[in-house]
This record gives sequence, C-alpha cells and structure tokens, in this order.
Amino acid sequence: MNSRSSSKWGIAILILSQCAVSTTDAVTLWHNQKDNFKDYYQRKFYGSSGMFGDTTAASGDSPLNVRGGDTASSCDSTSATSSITATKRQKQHRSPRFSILSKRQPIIPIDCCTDCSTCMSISSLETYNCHDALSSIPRGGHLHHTHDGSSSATSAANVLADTLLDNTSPNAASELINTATPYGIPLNIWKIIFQAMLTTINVVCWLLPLKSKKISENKLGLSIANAFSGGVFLSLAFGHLIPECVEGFHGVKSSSSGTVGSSILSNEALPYMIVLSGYLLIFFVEKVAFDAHDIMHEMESGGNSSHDSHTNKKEKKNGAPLPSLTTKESSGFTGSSAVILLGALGVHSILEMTALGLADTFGDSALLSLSIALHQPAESIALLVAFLKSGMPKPQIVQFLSVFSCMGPIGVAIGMAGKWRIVYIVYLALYLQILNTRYGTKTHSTLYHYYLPSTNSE
Amino acid sequence: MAQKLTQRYTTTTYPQPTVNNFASPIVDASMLAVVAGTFVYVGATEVIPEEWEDPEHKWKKFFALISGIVTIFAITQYTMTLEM
Repeated sequence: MNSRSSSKWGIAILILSQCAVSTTDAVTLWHNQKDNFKDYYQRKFYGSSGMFGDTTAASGDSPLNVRGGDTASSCDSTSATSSITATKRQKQHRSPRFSILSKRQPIIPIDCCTDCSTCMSISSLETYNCHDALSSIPRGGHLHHTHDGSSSATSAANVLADTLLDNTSPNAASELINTATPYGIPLNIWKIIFQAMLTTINVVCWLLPLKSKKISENKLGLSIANAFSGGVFLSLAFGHLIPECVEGFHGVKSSSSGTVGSSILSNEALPYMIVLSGYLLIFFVEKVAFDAHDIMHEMESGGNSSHDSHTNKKEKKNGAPLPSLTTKESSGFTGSSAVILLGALGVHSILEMTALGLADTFGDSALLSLSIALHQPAESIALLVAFLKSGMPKPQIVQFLSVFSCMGPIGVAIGMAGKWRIVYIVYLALYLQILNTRYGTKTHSTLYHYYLPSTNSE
Repeated sequence: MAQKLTQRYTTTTYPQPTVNNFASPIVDASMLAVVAGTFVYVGATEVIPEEWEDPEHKWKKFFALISGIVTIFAITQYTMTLEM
C-alpha cells in the first residue's frame, strides 16, 4: 500500500533529519564554545593555574560524546522498531479522536472492529453525506462519553459502521482522506512538515535567547522571565493538564463499566491523587532522597562569575558581607531541578506530538500543530530560563535542550507507528535516562567539589 | 484433560483484550497526571518561593507571574474553542 510505505520512509527520514539537525546544532555550538567551557571549569575549580588542564579537557569532552552517541543510537533504534511496527500495525491508529480534550490515543471501542473506525470519523461521514447518522453522534464524535444513553449511542455506531462497510471498503476511505489534504501531498508528509516547523520553532526559541548575551546575562530580565515561567507552569498544570487527564479518566471509566477495575476508576478523586503523587514523587527525589543541595549551592556560589558579581553588588549595598544571605540569594535553580523539569517537559511534548502523529485528518493535525506551536515557545523559554538560572556552562545547556528538541520527532514517530507497548517502554527509558544523566552530572560535580579543597590547601 | 486446560486457558484469557483496550489510555492519563504534578512542583515549590526570596522588583515579578498565567490560560482556551 502506498500510505504504508510512505509512512515508513517518512518516519525514517523524519527521525534522521531531526536528530541530525539538533545534534549538529549542539556540535557546532560546542565547537564554538569549547574553549569557554574549558575556561569555565578552570576558573571554577582550579583558579587559573591550569594544573589539571588536560584532565578537565578530557572530562569536558566525554559527556558530549557519550550523550551524542546515546541520542543517535536511541533514535536509530526507534526508527528501526517504528519502521517494523509501521508495517505491522497500520490499522489500529486510524481510529478517530473521541473527545475534545483528550488529544491522546483515542479509546478504542470494545465492541467495534478497528477496521471500520476510519469510516466513523466525522469528516468521512460528511464526505459520504451521512448527515442523519452524523446527527446521532454527539458533538466531538465521542461515542462513549454520553452518560445517559451510552448503549443507544453504541448501537447507533454499530449500525452506522455496518452500513458504511456495505457501501465502501476502508481502503477507499483512507484513500479519500489522503486525497482530501491540500496540494495532493499525503497526510503523513504533511505531519512531517508540521513537525519540522514545530521543531524549528522550538530550536529557535531556545537558541536565539541563548546566543544573545543581552538576554542571557540580564539579571532583572532573567528573574522576570523566571516568574513568568512559574506562571506558565502553574497555568499549564491547572488549566490544561489536569482537566485533560480528568477527561481521560472519565473516558476510561465509562468505557470499562463492566470490568473489574471500574470501582477504583469511578472514584472521582483518583486523577487528583495521581497528580498529588506526581508532586510527591518529585518532592521526594529532590528534597528527601538526594539531599545534595547544600553542596551544589556552595559550589555554584563559589564558582559562577555572574553570581559573584551579583553577590558583590549586594555586599556593596549592605555594607558588610553576609555569608548566609549570599548563599541563599545565589540559589535560584539547581542543575538537578532543571533536568527534572526537562524530563517533565519532554514527556509532555512526547505525549503531545504522539497526538499529532495519531491525527487522522488534515484539519486535526493542523489544529493540533497550531495549538502546540502556540504554547511551545513559552515552555522552551521557561526551560531555558531554568537552565540559565542553574549556572550551567552553555554547551551543556545546549546539549540538554537539544535532547528536549529531539522529543518532538520521537513523539511523532511513535504516534505514526502506533504501537503502544513500545510507547510506554520508551517513556520509561527516557525518563530513566534523564534521571541517570542527572545523577551522573551530580556525582561528577560533587567529585570535583571534594577534590577542590585539597588542591586549594596546597 | 488437555481440552479442559485449553478451555480454562481460553476462558481466563478472554477478558484480556478489553483490559488492553483501556489499559493504554489509563496509562496515558496517569502519565499526564504525574507530569501535571511535576509542573505544580516546579511552579509552586521551586520557582515562586526562590524567586520571591529576593524581594527586589516584587511587583514586576508578580505582574510577570500573572501575565504568564493569563497568557497560557488564554492560549489553552483559544485552542479548545478551535478543536470544538
């Protein structure tokens, strides 16, 4: 089939090109600022003695190589698996989106075969002039969300699917959907175009402010942007994510009314409690399990030049140096919390991009990419601010942010491949890898920290 | 005996497709919930207290916070009306 082969090649080209783009970005910036990085470590830990210049260069070199190799290999493996799965399961992700809010994987109707689900999307109904059948479906095309008469709705859907199956084959329906896109370009290619645009927007949004020194070294601007990003996060959590996951739980509950877990799922407080447990998870990881904050803070206040200038200003104002106050003021973000934020935003953007990969009409995918493009700049700027506040060297920031930009292509590829077992394994692997790199950097820096006093005393 | 075993096997595995059908949306939704919890943590526990430790420019910062909230709220509402 034409669409299968095109989606397969599309996935391969997509992943390779996007990974290439962001890794070359990282590498070029790395090469530009390699000397700065080296200087940073020298200034930070050894003064300007250059006693351990070779070791710092080596240790500075290795993280990029390792991380670049990691991302490349992971992307390659996903492309390989996705190309396999794309040939295997093409029909499953053609099911329509069921609710307004849930842009994720739609709930597959239990009693309906997945083959006829293409015919049940509203646009195809409109193309077949089934207006009376269309009116029986509630707005948004959601079949399982009607609380009063779900049985009648499903029976209507069955009848509708039967009639449509009699008239046309799903093959013809998919061809119709493909030809309905503008310029005759198939839908998957359109998705790739949208995705490339989104990734360029994303990269531009963090690369331009990072490159310009006016923005990244303006203290007041940084703190105002930080407050703005705090508002962005709170508003995203309370206005966008929590309603969406409540909606998701609602759909699951109504679709699994007869099964065993329904008594647990019907609990209204469940999604909120999961939100709270997510909060507690990060709280535990940050504040309880690995309490290396003091070490990090001392190190950062000792090493970072911009923090130094800030504290110097403070001392001039106050007249006398206050050591406890200065360490508090230089706290801001730590590198670990910035990386945790990267993990959360990465999972969020993978979920969103998966929805884009799953969209089965041109209008749907255009709307989704518009909505992603509207709030992605805020997210990437917030992430950039978090990294800038952590006082990390810029090449490392570029590495982490290009990992963040890789999440989008991976998400679309997952959505277009449509194999769900792999999706969650990949989520888990990414999250674990991010946490791993976080602890890796932390042990790295604490090692440096413990190494520092001995060299100083000598 | 073998027939009975196969029967039992089939009867026990029969409800599994339905479980699988709702298993991935629920994992999706709980993933979203955990991400939301992370966002709340970052917003309410990391950013805001540490930014307001330094009371300088507190009004400007507060204005920035409110404008961030309002911007994202407006964007989400706008996209919701688009998807209707």
